[in-house]
Amino acid sequence: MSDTYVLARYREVDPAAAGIQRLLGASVKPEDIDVMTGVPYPEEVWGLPESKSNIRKIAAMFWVIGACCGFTLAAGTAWLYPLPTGGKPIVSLPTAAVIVYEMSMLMGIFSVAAATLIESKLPNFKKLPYHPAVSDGHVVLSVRCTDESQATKVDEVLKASNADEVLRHV
Amino acid sequence: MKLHPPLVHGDDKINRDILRPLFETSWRWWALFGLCLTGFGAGFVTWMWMLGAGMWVTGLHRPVMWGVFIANFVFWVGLSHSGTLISAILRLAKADWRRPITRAAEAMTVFTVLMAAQFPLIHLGRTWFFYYIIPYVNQREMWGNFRSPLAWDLMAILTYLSGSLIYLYLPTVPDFAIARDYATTPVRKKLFTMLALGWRGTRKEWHRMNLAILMLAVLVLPVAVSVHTIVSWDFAMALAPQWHTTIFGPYFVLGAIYSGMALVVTLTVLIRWAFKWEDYITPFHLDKLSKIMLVAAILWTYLWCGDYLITWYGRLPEEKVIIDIKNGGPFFWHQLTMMLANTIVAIPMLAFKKVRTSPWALMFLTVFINVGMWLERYLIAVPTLVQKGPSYTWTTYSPTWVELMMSIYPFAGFVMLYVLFVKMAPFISIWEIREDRVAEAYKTMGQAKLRAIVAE
Amino acid sequence: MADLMTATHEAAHGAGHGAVQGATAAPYAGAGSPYRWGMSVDLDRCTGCGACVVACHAENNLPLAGPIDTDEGRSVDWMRVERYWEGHYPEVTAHFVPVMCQHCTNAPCEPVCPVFATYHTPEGLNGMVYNRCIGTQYCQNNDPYNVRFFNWFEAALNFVEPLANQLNPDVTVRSRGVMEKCTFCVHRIREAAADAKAEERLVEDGEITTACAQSCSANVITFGNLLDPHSKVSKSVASARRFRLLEGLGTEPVVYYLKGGQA
Repeated sequence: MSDTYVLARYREVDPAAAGIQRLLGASVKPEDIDVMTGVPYPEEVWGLPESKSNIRKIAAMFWVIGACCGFTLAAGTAWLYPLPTGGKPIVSLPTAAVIVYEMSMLMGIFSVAAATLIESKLPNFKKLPYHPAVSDGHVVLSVRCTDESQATKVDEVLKASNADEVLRHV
Repeated sequence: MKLHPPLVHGDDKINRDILRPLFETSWRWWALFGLCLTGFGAGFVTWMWMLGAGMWVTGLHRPVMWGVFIANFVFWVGLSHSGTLISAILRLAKADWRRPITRAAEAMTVFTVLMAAQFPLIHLGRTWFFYYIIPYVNQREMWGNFRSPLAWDLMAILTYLSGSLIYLYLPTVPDFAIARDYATTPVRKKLFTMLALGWRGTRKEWHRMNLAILMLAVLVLPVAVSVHTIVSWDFAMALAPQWHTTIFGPYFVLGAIYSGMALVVTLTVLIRWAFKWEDYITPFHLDKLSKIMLVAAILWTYLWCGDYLITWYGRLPEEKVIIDIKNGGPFFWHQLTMMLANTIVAIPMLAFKKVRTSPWALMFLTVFINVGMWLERYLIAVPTLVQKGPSYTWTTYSPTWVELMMSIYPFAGFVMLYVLFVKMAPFISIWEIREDRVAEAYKTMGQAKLRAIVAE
Repeated sequence: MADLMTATHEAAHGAGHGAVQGATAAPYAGAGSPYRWGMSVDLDRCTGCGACVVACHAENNLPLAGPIDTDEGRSVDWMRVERYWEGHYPEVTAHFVPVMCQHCTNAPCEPVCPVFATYHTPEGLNGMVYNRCIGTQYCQNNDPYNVRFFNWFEAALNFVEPLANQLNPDVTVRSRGVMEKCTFCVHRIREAAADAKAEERLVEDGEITTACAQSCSANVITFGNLLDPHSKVSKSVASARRFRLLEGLGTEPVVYYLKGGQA
């Protein structure tokens, strides 16, 4: 069973947002509706449930992991093979702090990038519903339909919502 | 049904204007690229030859072990600072005028760091064993010495380079998607499809992207500050006169922002002229950038004077001899040029709006500032070493042609990478400009029509 | 970590202070060894003849440098005799200061090396590991005495036949691109220590001496164990004429200079 996607292209934001409300009114589930835009709009524009993300928590976690790695690297390696230099202690906290700082930042940055890509399911080179007019700033709605009758219904709703173009993606 | 229906798009002016350099290449581009490649190649051959011959081909000798190479290192790390740092600050401050400038500035950061990172290798006596400094598991159970500022340097520069690269790449992904949709030749189509990672601009993608950019800005900002602080500690941790000072951290960071802003302005003026992007980069933007530069100039001068006055007044014998050779000895002209470029000429000039908004005046001024900043780095590294320790070992230093070639090398390399980047990515952030225009609204108040804020 | 620090401090304090009376034998991390090599240089006796410099060159396979390289500051002289003039012609006095690596207890050159090419040995020597060195030259920058030397040239170019025959087989010939410096003739120390260990005893005073001390006809240089209160060097260092170079920096050198007496 393969899903059908109905795409609707709008030049403006307002009819697109109104189109979403019509779809919701026609009892289409919010998770089946996606909006593709060329620029980020505030979430409230679409009247859909807000997106949730764990990027902050993941970054904070890896920041701490990075700090521990930094300490292990700076203090642990010095302790494993103690070589006195310049009358300084083998495990010297002020110098370890520098490494702790840099490692925590490094892990924080890497985790933000990785979490962003993983949460957005990128990279993804599969043929997902898309319309290149997004690149011109158009707003494209994509509605997932499980069967043909639903697709026909969605088609009608979208055509009635002043979409500039309605098409299918299989 | 077809995946991509017949396009109705392709007529968007912003896309056309900004993507043009990606798809059209003029003979001027090839000429510039060829010139840079020659300079870079000549520098690289010189480096390889020096590796074979030995360090005696430079002007270095005991006790001047750090000369032009280290000055170049500090200079190029410094230049990198205004890209990521300024971009992060302005993003966090939601300063909308940053939009046309940040991409070019962030790219500048990445390429200047790439050039800077080569100098610690270039100046090594045994470059082929550079990996001893990297902590890796080996049969001798030996690790690097993390008590050494050079090991901090390695960590800081790696962090900064990775952070800047991610901070440059991630916000470019939506623009790569635009380039992918506009690409006509199969090679470009394939290249931009890969770079865009399958970006579609869905609600969730944008939500995460915005969050990630914010988080990265927060994380990259302190890293940028730490990098140049640690570079300054390469000097400040040493027991050498005029190096061993607590002011070096903030002083280096401000110097870095100053020289970096100067390079951002130089590049902005050149890009605007080369691609005829007067609609996107206006004198308004130059004015804003120059104001930041002016603040950096004033603060840098303040810290320089603070450092100078205190050491001059203290008259510690070790430090006095170094101050003397800068005030009246072999480094007199260096110091005078530096002060002219960075303070005496720059600050009064930048105080005038007429200068701040005229591209060509700014371009010459910023190049002059960077000449001054290079001399500043040279003045930090060299005079201390020529008269350090027992007076029996005092000496002088004059660079050879090898050091000259190795100073041309990063310039040529940087410009080469930069012009290559012009062909790889939209140089002005298209989606951010468009976001600004979408959010743009005007409100009339009395007789005035004012720009209102409707964005988040 | 704190244990590591204090334990070694006590070890050094306990033995070190009794030996060098009044001398500030600094706490030294890594001790526990019965030896703490040190040197005294009696400047009142030095004639500036330069025999120590020659002996050092011959003993330690120092690269040779011609007049041009020496003039350009690329010669390698682990031991040098600094000459300072006082007064105006014809009323001039020459002062001579033989300067070699001071083997500082708190050596500023050691912690700045990112690869541990230089570190402090348990016997208080400032060790230099040539094959670990990558040539950052940072140690020389942070060396207040300017007694570290960089190998500018290929060693093979230095010791062309038949000069190679004069190389000391006990000492490494350093390759281009590494730093080097006075080792206190560590190969002699190691040899004597190995002999002593085989005979299950400690190295006796006078059993080892450095090449510079050996060649000095005026008996300027005394080398020995500072932890042994009866060694010649300990007695010499107890002199009121004692001082150390750039003492204010707190580097705690183990080379003591004697100056200011009638002899």
